[in-house]
Amino acid sequence: MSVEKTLQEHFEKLTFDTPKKGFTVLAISAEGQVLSQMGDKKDSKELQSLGALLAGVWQASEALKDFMSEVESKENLRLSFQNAHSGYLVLPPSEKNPKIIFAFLFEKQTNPGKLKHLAGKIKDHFSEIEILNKDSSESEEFLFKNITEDEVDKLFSFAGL
Amino acid sequence: MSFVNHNKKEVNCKIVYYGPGLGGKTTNIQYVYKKTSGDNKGNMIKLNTENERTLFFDFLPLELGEIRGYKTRFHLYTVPGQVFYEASRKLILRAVDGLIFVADSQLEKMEANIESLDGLEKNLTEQGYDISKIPLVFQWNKRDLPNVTPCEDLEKRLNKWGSPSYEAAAVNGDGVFETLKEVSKLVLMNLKGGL
Repeated sequence: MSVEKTLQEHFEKLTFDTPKKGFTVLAISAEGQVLSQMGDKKDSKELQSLGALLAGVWQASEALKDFMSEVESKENLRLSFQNAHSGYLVLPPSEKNPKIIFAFLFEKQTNPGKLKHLAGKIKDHFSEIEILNKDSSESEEFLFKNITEDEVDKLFSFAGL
Repeated sequence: MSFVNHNKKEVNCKIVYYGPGLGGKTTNIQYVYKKTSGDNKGNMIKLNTENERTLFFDFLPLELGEIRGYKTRFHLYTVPGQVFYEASRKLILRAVDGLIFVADSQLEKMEANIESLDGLEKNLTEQGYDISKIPLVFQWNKRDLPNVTPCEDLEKRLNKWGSPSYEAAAVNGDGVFETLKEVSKLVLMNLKGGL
């Protein structure tokens, strides 16, 4: 089963009481691709930007950590940026899924502390599952063989080439 | 690394514009953004300093259309060119699928080009990549300026791998899409994950 399908199925199965509005959970690959989402943010273009930025700040924070000799393990590190009612939280990858981070975005919430607790529970849920990307990363076959100039031209037809 | 979603029939690839400071990397993706219709592009994100120099990265998501039934998404990134942003450049190179090296053709910029290319090679090696195996396209930018190095010299000094190269004046859009098209083709042909 694909990463995305596994994640989506688990998102659908979650029984936690999540806010109906102003709350989004994103599963993001280390490279910044949004693999799956739950909640408000659904627009695919917006999700791509969010994925790139959240993975970017996470990677930058990890790099910063290397300058801090006292921080030995990144397991318990969290990244958060918030005020009293809105912001985001990024939780570290789990041992079983070292290439997936979970980001939680919240807006206009009365109790962000409660949401952070909920975020931890959601992350723990996914930490128990081994999410493999069997149908894409394991195959060594080329996906597109012998691409023609015509096919590439069509992709770029919008640019008038 | 590219991400192939067979269920949704989507491929996602990461292309990085690399090169010396003020060489025209941001100008390239700004032009792509300008010439791409709203349906094909997302918001362009620029993480800049106050004086409009790239601080962390620029990002532009592009949805190009379908190839053999797969929707293709390209994520275009630029690195910050200024020498002291080496740590940021390393981060942005992670999981790269294709590279465009934007060289500044001006005579006095040759050393900066060489230094940047050496840095690219080193950063890739540190991350376990072999530059000769990554889709790489050179862009000889700023050909519209008077004091430029002949392309043959740029080829000799910079293009050690015989990669495809294009002349460009990104500020006018010349060569911008040609370069992107070439690297996109190479990336798609290099994509693993066939069933």
